[in-house]
Amino acid sequence: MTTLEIRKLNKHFGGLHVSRNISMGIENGEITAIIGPNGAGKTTLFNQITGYITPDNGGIFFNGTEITGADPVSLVKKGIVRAFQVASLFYEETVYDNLYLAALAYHGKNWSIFADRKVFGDVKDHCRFILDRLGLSGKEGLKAFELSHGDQKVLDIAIALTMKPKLLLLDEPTAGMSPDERVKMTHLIRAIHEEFKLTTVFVEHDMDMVFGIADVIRVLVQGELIAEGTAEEIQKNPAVIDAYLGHEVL
Amino acid sequence: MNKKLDTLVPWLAYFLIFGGMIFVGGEHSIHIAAQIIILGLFALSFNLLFGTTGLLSFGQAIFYGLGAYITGMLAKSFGGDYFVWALLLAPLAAIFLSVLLGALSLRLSDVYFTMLTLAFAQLVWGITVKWSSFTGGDDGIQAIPKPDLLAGGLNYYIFSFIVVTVCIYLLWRLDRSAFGAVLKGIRQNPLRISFTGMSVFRHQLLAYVISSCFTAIAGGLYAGIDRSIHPDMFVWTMSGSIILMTILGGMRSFFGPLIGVAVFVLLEDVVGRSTQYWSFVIGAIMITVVLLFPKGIVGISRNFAGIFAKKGGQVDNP
Repeated sequence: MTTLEIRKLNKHFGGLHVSRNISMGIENGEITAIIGPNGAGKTTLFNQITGYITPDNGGIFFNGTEITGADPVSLVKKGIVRAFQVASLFYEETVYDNLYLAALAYHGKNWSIFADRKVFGDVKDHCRFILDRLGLSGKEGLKAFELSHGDQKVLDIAIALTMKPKLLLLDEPTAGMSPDERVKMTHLIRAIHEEFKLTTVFVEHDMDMVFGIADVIRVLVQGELIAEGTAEEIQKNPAVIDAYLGHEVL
Repeated sequence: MNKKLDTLVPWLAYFLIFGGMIFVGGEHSIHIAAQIIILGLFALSFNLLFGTTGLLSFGQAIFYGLGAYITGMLAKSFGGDYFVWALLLAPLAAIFLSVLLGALSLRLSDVYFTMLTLAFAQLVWGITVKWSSFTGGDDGIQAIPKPDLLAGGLNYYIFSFIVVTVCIYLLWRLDRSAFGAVLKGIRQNPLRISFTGMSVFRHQLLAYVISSCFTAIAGGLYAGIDRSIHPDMFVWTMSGSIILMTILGGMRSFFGPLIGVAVFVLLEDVVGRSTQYWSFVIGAIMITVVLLFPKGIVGISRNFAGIFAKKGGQVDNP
């Protein structure tokens, strides 16, 4: 079953054509990597899928329903949740409270005006589960700004997971990380994907990670989808080698 | 344990000072205390927008004036026995006006929001001054009648103290509620709030309405202190001084704005007795606090507390 279908998506920024007739179908439970050089329009594609910007034309369908132009709030409620390239956190709050906010939204407690926030047992359990699952348990009392860069990225993904997504979009999960942190993040994403059978799409420049965990790799160059296939197919694709991978890699 | 103490101490101090005033205060000090708690309620409601949600409204005086004029004009037309009923109408009117103004101005962000709130308040001030047959114009409204029970200065103070305390308690609960946590999240990262499935606009609007509601109650209470109100309650300097007092006290702590108001009003009273240049003194203090202690008076005392507790240097606000 196709979870996310994109049909002939186009987006211009002024004279710049950043999404050129992009069409793709992402199957349920699949883990997809979107790769391509800087400025290829990967984040712009994410922004259109998650409702942050509206495409000029074309359609986006989630489990068969059209969601083109819907706003982020309603898309999150449908289960389309993203993490960010630069960790987007509540930096003055603790790790726990960062997750707490997301869990509140998930359980619909965000309009509770006068009840003390400590009373919601389901919200607490939910946060605890995510903390344990993502290995943040020992750090729950730290403020988000006190975390290492790697942990901030993990927390960013943890917030997204708290929303129990059906489609998870990760924008460069290893950006700016040390090699150690990259390996950890790769394991984490694979573990999350296996445990929750989550349909996952991620943008990434780290090829070890891309070839290591993606079921399908899709290559964007100058706003155009030039190739899609398994790791093996992509590595052999001459257009991809020319445009992005380069000959020396192989 | 320590956390419990942190929440208990401000409340204890509040009841000791403003409750104790009922038993020991003279006529003048009761009058000053009444001004402090009423303006304090205004500042605390304002800070729900400013310190908590990160919205700088430069026009909250509109709701302060609205509360005062509704209470004052209705009591004047129907008689003193209706004073309390008029006071109850003030927040209801504020809800209507704030839904309207909030829906318009919260569509804009940052400085545009600030400017639009300022423009609305100035508009209403202009109308109040010009439409003198209805509002009393520049002179405002004098000799507002009150029920006999609330006639004396002390009785009115007790009444105000009860109303203000209930309002502050509700605001305090809100600050610690789930909704309050969302507001703080909006201040820090509105983008992430929408990407966790919460509408920034709708939460801001509710915060704006609640803040305006309590501001109108403060305005209504003010109408009974000297039994006179004037269009200056709408003017931008009114909104401006509330912003100053909030920053002076410390906008990141719940009781900070109340402390700011107390310091401001006391200075005005004490310094004002010896020199007409009291605003110069307040200006100088203001500059010192903002430059040296950006976290306000609460921040200063926390730093000292930190040194005495040998925690060393910086102590963070909760």
